[in-house]
Amino acid sequence: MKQWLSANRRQYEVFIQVVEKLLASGFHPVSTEPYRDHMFRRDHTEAMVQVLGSFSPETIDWPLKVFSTGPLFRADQSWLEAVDVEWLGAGSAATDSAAVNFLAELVGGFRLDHPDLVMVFGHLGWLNTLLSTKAPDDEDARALIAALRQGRWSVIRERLPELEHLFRPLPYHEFVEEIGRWVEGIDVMAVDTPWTQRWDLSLTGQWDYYSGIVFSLYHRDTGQALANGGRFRMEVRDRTIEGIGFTLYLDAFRAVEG
Amino acid sequence: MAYTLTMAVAKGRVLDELQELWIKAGWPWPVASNGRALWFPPSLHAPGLIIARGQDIPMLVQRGIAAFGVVGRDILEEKGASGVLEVLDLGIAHCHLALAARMARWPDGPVRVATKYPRIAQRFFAERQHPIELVALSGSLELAPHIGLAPYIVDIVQTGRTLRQHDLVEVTRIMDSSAWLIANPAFWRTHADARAVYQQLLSAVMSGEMTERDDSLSSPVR
Repeated sequence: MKQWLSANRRQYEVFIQVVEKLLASGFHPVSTEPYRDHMFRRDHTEAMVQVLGSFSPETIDWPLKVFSTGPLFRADQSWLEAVDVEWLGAGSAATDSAAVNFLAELVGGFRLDHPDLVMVFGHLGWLNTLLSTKAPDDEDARALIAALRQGRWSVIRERLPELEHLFRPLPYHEFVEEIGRWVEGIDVMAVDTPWTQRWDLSLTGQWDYYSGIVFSLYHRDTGQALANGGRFRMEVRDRTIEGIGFTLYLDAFRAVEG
Repeated sequence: MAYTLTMAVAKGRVLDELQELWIKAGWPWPVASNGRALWFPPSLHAPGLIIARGQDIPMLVQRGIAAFGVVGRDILEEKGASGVLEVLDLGIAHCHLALAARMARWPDGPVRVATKYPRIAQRFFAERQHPIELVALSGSLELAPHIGLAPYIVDIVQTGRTLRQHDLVEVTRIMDSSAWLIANPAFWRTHADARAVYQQLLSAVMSGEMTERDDSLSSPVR
């Protein structure tokens, strides 16, 4: 029992550490409902955007730095403790870098071996551009992206084998060189993180609101993501809200801390 | 190279038919014919192997218990997006899902359908805008039309022998299925080992496809 209590204690320490850092960095907590419209919450981002989108536009000072905490439920009826961090109304590449750097700062506060961490980046914008040049029409390109989002990696090998290399994790310089062969004028963001980095266009993010860079922070030994995130665009009450953010999975952090 | 990753494989026909590909990939087959072991750790010569129920394979891979899984397309479709990557059709354990009944006739009006695949059956009838009542069963589906439980069943068909033995016939084919290699996204994207295991299995599958093509080219014209 001591071990169980100790593990729970550590998870709450991690939680408190993250929340203190967020408050000190000017983020505002936003409560979202864990159960609504006969559905358990599966995503904080959309829930937060719904809540904040209910305010009159003139009362909002963009960009908003916000966070939400609490369990996320999965289709298999399990759940994960999560903290979701968002920059809403922030539309620049500089914010993308700032978000990734802030994630690095947060993770730097945990007892983790950095050589075991791998940050994988994908990009929905470039994926769209690439597929628009290769797929027969827009509908086909959308179907390919939907298939990737459902985990059907094999569609690339079946449909676009010449591009397969871009759909495997590549180091930054190889990725830049490879994507440059197919699409002109792409400026691949060089992100300074303390972890190994890979670029892989098969990473699309779980949700269809992702519109630009997406990323997952993995630990090599656990087979779990410690964090997922990316740039998104959502339509709320006739308004388009853009932003970037990420979700930290506290159970995964506890597991890799041992 | 010492292997570090493990593959979870659905017991039964998928496991039986994987053996040939496993050996073609250059790995010694660890499962003894009458053995009861269900777990074989990774070794110097081969990835590890976990033998489990097909229904559980996506969960084992999604949670990182196994880096890879081998499971039927039917189960992947039934489970829906389950947080795994579907990376390779292994071309083994071919079968199909079918709607079957005592007579080969499409149901007339609302009907009760017994199945182990409620999600696939629901989608199939919804696409055809045909009202049904689903009865979820875990086995012995062939009995359902005979004992008054449901006049139609949606079930997996390999040779059709089981249907014939129970005086049932196929009404229509719903989907084809074969065994797929699935991968845990984190292991897939962070381990060089994962790429090596995939490439070895891909080569084994391709060599099988080449052999089949060669056989068909060299077979005498009848």
